[in-house]
Amino acid sequence: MSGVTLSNLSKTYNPGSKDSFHAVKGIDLEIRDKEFMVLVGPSGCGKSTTLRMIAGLEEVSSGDLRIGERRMNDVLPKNRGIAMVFQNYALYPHMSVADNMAFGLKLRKTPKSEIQNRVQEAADILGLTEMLGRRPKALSGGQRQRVALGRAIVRKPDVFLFDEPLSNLDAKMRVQMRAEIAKLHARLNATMIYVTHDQTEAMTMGDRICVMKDGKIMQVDEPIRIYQSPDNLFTAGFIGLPQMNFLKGVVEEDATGVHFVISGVQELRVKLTDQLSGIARSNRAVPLTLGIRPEHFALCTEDDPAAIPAEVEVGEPLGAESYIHLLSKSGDKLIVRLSGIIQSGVGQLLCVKPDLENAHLFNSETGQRL
Amino acid sequence: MSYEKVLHLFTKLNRMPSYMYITVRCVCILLLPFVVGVISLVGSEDLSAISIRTTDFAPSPDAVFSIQGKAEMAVYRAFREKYPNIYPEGNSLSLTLEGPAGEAPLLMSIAGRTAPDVIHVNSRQSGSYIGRNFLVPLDEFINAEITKEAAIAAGIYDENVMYRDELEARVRPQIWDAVSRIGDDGKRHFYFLPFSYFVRVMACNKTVFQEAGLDPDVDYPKTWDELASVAQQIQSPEDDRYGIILGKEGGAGWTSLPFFFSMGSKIVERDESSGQWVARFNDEGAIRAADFYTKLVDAPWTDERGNQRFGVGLSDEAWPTWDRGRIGMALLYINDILINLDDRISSMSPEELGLVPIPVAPSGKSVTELHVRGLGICATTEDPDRMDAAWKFLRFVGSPDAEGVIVRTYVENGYASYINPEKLAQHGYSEYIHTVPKQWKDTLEFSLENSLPEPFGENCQVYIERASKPLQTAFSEGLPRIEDEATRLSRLQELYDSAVMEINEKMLGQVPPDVMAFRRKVALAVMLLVALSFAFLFAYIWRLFSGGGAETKMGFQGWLKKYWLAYALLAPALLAILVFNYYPLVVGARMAFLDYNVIGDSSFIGVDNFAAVLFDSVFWISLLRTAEYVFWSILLVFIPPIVLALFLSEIPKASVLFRVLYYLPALVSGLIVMLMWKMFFDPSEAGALNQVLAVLDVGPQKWLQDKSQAMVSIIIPLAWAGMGPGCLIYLAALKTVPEDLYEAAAIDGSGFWSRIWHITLPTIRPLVMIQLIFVLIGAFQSADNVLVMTAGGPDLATHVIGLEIFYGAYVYLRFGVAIAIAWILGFFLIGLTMFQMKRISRMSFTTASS
Repeated sequence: MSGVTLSNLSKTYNPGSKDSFHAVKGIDLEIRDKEFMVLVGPSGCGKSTTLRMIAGLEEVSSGDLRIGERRMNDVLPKNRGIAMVFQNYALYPHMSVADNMAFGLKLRKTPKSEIQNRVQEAADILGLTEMLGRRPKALSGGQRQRVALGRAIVRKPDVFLFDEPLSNLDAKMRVQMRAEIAKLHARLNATMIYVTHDQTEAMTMGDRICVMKDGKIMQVDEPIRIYQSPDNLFTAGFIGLPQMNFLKGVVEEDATGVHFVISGVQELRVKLTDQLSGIARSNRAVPLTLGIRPEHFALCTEDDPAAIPAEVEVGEPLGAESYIHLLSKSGDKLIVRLSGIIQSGVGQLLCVKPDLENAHLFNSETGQRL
Repeated sequence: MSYEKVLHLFTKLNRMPSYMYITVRCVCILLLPFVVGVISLVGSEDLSAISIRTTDFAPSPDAVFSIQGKAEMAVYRAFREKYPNIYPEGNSLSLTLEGPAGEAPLLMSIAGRTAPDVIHVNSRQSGSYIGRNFLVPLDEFINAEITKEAAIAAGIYDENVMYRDELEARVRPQIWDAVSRIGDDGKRHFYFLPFSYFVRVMACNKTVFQEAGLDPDVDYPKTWDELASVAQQIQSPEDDRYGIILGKEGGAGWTSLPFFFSMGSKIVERDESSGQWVARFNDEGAIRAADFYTKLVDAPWTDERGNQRFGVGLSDEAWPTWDRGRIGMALLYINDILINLDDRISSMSPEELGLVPIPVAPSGKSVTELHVRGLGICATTEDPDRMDAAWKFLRFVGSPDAEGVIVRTYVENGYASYINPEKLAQHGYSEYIHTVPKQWKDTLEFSLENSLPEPFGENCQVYIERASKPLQTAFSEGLPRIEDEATRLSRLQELYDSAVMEINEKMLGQVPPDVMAFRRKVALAVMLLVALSFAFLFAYIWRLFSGGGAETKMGFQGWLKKYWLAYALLAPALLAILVFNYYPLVVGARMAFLDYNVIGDSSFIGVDNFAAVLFDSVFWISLLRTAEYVFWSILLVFIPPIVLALFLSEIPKASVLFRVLYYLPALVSGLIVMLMWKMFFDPSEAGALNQVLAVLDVGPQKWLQDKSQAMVSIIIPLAWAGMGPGCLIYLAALKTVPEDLYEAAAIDGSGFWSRIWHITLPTIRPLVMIQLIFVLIGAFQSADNVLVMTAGGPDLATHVIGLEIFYGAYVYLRFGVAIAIAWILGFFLIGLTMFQMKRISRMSFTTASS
């Protein structure tokens, strides 16, 4: 059993001094045994610091860190049963590929034959058999990261830690390695904690995703659930590409039903569905944000009750679908995704209507979904 | 330009705007040296005025501080009065070196053609100076055949020529052969003239004698046996009282010289049949003298109180003890004009100081050493007018006129009672004769009569050091403590036989022909090996740096078109390297096969220089010492900066402060560091380092004077000065080690040492290797710091190969031998150079674009 439990975990750099910085602010997270957990968030959100605390490369300021049943706060990195893959590979430049992989085992006084077997096995898995004698300098970026993976694998750790391992690779290689790491997880059946700022990686690789911002956890859930029902404006905006459209407004009710009134250059009224109406009615006093993903728009006529008239700013036909950047009459910027090739000229007037079944209402002040 | 004009100019300057004023002033200051130079050039155009440079009797600001200085200044003034158009100037040879290297600076200035016109010569140097053509034969100025009167009678008298009578008055019969040589033409040529004589006598501290219950006027030692017994009676370390001061280390050869002379040993003699100089200090008398001397220093005896003692004196470093009046006897020089001129006795009154002759040897003789100070004309002076002026100067300073001036100066300053009565009478001060202590007068007279000059064959300037060696070996073997006389004598005979052989070979250049033939064969083989190695090295470097085959297809035209600008830009640098590095190298290489003379012709002698090197034990010792030096350099100069850098990189706070602190010593220039540490290494209790040790309850160390500590002591200053700069280079390199490598290693299970060994060192390894090569090559070649600190001593303990080259060239004046050693040293460095070149060839140099 090697789940990882973070309880009220905090990290403060230079505590007490004037450049003191609170990087991680008392987070609680339970990573289950054999789970692939992705920590995602923008730069400075504390995801790497959290990972490095788990690795033992940063001291824990307060709170508890457990791997399995054992409290690990003060345990040396080498004794935590972890292996880590770094963004810059961190391969020992003066050692061959095989020596790089074997280094940790040698330090642990593993028998030579055992070392050789494990290195061979890892090399087979990663397709490095031909390169065992080479120095890192003679390898491409993808191969180097594979060696770094191999170095982690041979150690047979309880927990794998990945610190943005694919950031230094080109796009094509990134897609390929992404799949390999996912396959590796399936094969090794080990707990993996993966830090990235790339939401595609987060969505495609993780069993669960932990979205972080400013040293706090915003949401922890399975990727699809995070996509479909983000807990807050931040998660909603961070996950999904292009990002979710946000329209600020208030709720008004008249005889025809409940309307979301978008105040702006020109007032726009969108009639809400029954489900949203219910939520809106109980939050009539607060400013709200309506969130709609780009794919949840459709073209409509001007007289549609939910129509949002807008001017085309940029059209991006991609073949299977088209992204259209719009400026609504209210003055809000929208991106809509429509299937097929939509030819649209700049400045052309379009009417789109949101699919309100898939829209979310957020409290603008707290950012929480209603 | 008149004073008013200058004043006017200044008033004008003062009215200028300030920035202009400053600019003008700066320009003036910059131009000043040129103006002064031009003025002095214009000034010297006064045709009748001749300025000459001299090592002695030149005006010096220090002259007023000693009576000798005052006397010399008086002579200088008298000379200027007599010859108002000749301006003798001083020559600053301010570089002072240890031991036998002390005479090197003058030789270096002769080799560099910057020597003074009139140079100081003493008898032990004369052989080399004359042999190497440093001195102009004074043939046109000296006529030793006839007297002045005879010359006048014959009508050939020339005022500028010194005739037989003047010469005989000036040159004592013992040194006739030292100041002159019989040339190939069978005639006697004179090379220098004495201006002052010193003889060694026994100085007795009367107070110490009385303290020991002896009457100093009666009980002073007259024979060797008495010397030993008197010294025993005085010797009482409990009362801080010692018998006699005796050289034990490098000075032993000098102190013991009168004992050898008294036993009739000729030391170094000219073989009449071959005309060559031969060392002879292994004859029976010499061995007896050595036995007596070593026994004085270290023979066992029991004093009245029953204490077991060894020897009856103190060794070389005991002069401070003499100065504070706690030693009974010392062998010191007295002067033939001012008897107590020597600093060691000048402050003692006749009531305190007894001066007696060297005790009579078992041979029945007492012969002491005569030290001559003379002047000659340096061969670098070629202009006839200057030569004439130089002759007038050196003739004058030793003339009766000059002597009169000196005596007058002494008398006027109250020294009349200490002047040689003969000179007092000669110069009209007879009234003072009765005030001169009779004992002093008698001793001076006797000693001048019974004295011999120091050895004066070729290279005899290093005789003292060489002659000290068998004595030093005898002391280290404890020979004087052996009771059986026959054993002592036979061992001494062995030691002196080998010393004589070595001196004959190295100093005087005498090797039997069959031995020489064998040596030549070996030398030829070694020389070929060296040459082949160099050829191989050049081929190797050529291959390393020459490009691939692609460019050869271009043809010369294309090559020229592409690269002409690059080579045009390179040309000045290439030319400078060729002219200043390779030209001397090639010319120097030739010297390895010559018996090279700085002045005059050099003869081709094949591989004899290599033979001399390879069969010289000192060369092999110097190799061993170099190995020791390299070892300590690696331990103390190469490794510590790495360790320090590792520590400094770990320091969390104030790392900049530490870096600055460690770097500061590097701001002190090299020679100053050496001289400063030499002061720290003062072996007395007052020495800086010994005071530090005293705080730690450790007794005073001898540092540079201790054979086992000297080498380390030389390296310590280098370590101290090199720590900061070395450390800084490594610190910069350590910054290039990626942080995540350490993290990866920490996760892999590395501890502190494992991280340094597996991560840090491999990453900075290229730099470490380059630094190692630099330190190694530097250590192999080092000579300057050793020269300043110990000059190779004590007893060759720090005689590294670089120093052997220096000695070969500037002390033995065997430039060919020195060059041969340099080539052999280069041979040893070939491996290192190849490695370094390989490293450098692997580095990539890139241009921004083609």
